[in-house]
Amino acid sequence: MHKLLVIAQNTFREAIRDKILYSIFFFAFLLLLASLALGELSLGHHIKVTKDLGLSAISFFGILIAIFTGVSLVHKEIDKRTLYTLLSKPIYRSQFVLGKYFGMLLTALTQLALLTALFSLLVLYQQKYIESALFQAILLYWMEIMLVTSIALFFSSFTTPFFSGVFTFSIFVIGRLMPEIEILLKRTTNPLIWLLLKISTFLPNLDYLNIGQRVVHQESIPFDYMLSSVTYTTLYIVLFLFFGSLLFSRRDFI
Amino acid sequence: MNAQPPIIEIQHLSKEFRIGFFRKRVRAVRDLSLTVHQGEIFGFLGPNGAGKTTTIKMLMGLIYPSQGQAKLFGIPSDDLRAKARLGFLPEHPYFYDYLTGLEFLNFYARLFGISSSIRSVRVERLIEQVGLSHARKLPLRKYSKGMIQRIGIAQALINDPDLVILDEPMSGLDPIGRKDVRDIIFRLRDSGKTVFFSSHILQDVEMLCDRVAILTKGQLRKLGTLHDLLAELSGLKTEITFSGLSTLDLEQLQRLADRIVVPGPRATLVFPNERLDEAVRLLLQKGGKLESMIPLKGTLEDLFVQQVHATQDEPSPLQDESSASPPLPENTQPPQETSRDA
Ligand SMILES: Nc1ncnc2c1ncn2[C@@H]1O[C@H](COP(=O)(O)OP(=O)(O)OP(=O)(O)O)[C@@H](O)[C@H]1O
Ligand SMILES: [Mg+2]
Repeated sequence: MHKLLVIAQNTFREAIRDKILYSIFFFAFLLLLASLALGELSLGHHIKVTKDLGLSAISFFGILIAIFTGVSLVHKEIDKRTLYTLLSKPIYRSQFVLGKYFGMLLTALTQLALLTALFSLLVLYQQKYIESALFQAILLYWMEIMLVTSIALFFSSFTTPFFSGVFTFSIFVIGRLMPEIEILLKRTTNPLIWLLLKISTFLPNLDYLNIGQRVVHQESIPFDYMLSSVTYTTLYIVLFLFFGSLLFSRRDFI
Repeated sequence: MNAQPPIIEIQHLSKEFRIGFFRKRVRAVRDLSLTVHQGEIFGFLGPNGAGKTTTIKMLMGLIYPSQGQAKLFGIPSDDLRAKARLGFLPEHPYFYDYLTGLEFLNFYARLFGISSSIRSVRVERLIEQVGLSHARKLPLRKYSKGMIQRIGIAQALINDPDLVILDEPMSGLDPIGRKDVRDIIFRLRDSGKTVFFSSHILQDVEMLCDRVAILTKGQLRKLGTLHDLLAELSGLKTEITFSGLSTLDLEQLQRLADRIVVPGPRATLVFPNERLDEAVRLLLQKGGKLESMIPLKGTLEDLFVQQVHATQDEPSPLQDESSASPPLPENTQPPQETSRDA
């Protein structure tokens, strides 16, 4: 556990000393401010616009960071051969993978916390109070970010950053479109398409975690729903990390 | 010798890579067996592409052997207990360039679970030992090639290892740096540690090593103490000093020689032994005066070149399945361990 944290800390340090991350963060920051401006412009519903855009920005940039760090940071250790020295130390390869994972989460969490703080200030500024439901939505977006990071890490344990990025993004999109896929599945008559759609349904359903719209429209989200979504996501994360570590442990580093 | 297991025990280790679309076979290491004992400085030699790095990577658990196994301290080399007692410097190292020298060493020290009080003392001492005190707060991005090599060596010693494995530790170092590394290696040996390193710098190897192995094309060709291996070579060449030859005769004699040490009327020439008879006969026939005749000791370079030449007609590790096992040329006998201390 200790070694895992040492690796996580080093990953975090690498990420925050990387300039790309700051530019992503900067754009997220701009978008949040823009959501305020757009909210002010749209008569009547302005607070809804701010909330909606704000939550979307937090989710979008969170996912962007998840994919970016997830596909690049492990590959970088292999590519630059820093891994040779690291794996000659008394650590298991799975400790390395998990250490990387937690380091990436730490990076994403820091970013998310800052954006959430800014978002809260904007909402407070506009409506003088802030409802806890918004934080429920952000919590599930956070779960989604953790899941997408684990998927990116899974792919980067055996393929290149480019393919890891493409695969991860595809799974993200499919996951978000799961309700539509389920409808299509009932309607299609083509067996091949049916099979493809059927296979897709084994991927994580990210629609469960996307409750931004519902929250913005004042729907209240029961505790049961939160609990089952968190559990559901955690199971997938464990699965991806497990197979990621397994594949990584069997690899030759040449 | 004693009941202790050897520090390194490599048994029938082989590694094949598959490359390209047709999955062509590259036999980078073939049936390699060798042992290294406690307190030895062991040199692992071979021309480019001989399989040294591949072997070392298998020892480190970075790649998995196709066949055979490697044990360190009597336990499988990928066991964490073995790694805890091990220091490693990879070939052409590249490190986290966003860390400073201090942060870098502290990072590895923490992976070994070294307590913070010991850690700070040890990190400072190592940084000093490799001559980087002035650059300790500089990010590695700003280090020169030789400085990276030095911090890499410091990193390999962070856990006070019993076995240090270095892949070309001298590469990229200036003469002072090479001497520093030699001193570090001697100091390690003096404190009872074992050092295993690959190198192309044969002078360093001659100065440092107790035993060496020579690998070409993935196979072990020579293994033994430096002393015994070089003794085998002695008697290959002889140095002759003579006088009293006319310029014309001298020129004729020189054509038989390998090397001219001192030219002129009183000349010193080196002859390979197979031409020695002929040379001496010619010298005496022409009325020259033989002043001295010294059999030359072989150098490690001679041995190295001899081994590479002897195996250069063998197929390279890159080959088709069909021509998998050609007969070995006559002059390559399987390596035999030349006996160490009695
Ligand atoms: N990943 C790989 N894929 C295919 N072939 C490889 C791979 N790594 C090494 N080889 C081949 O294995 C052989 C041994 O390579 P290795 O790097 O072990 O040599 P070396 O003795 O360390 O050489 P050098 O002195 O140049 O460092 C070479 O023929 C090389 O081409
Ligand atoms: Mg090499």
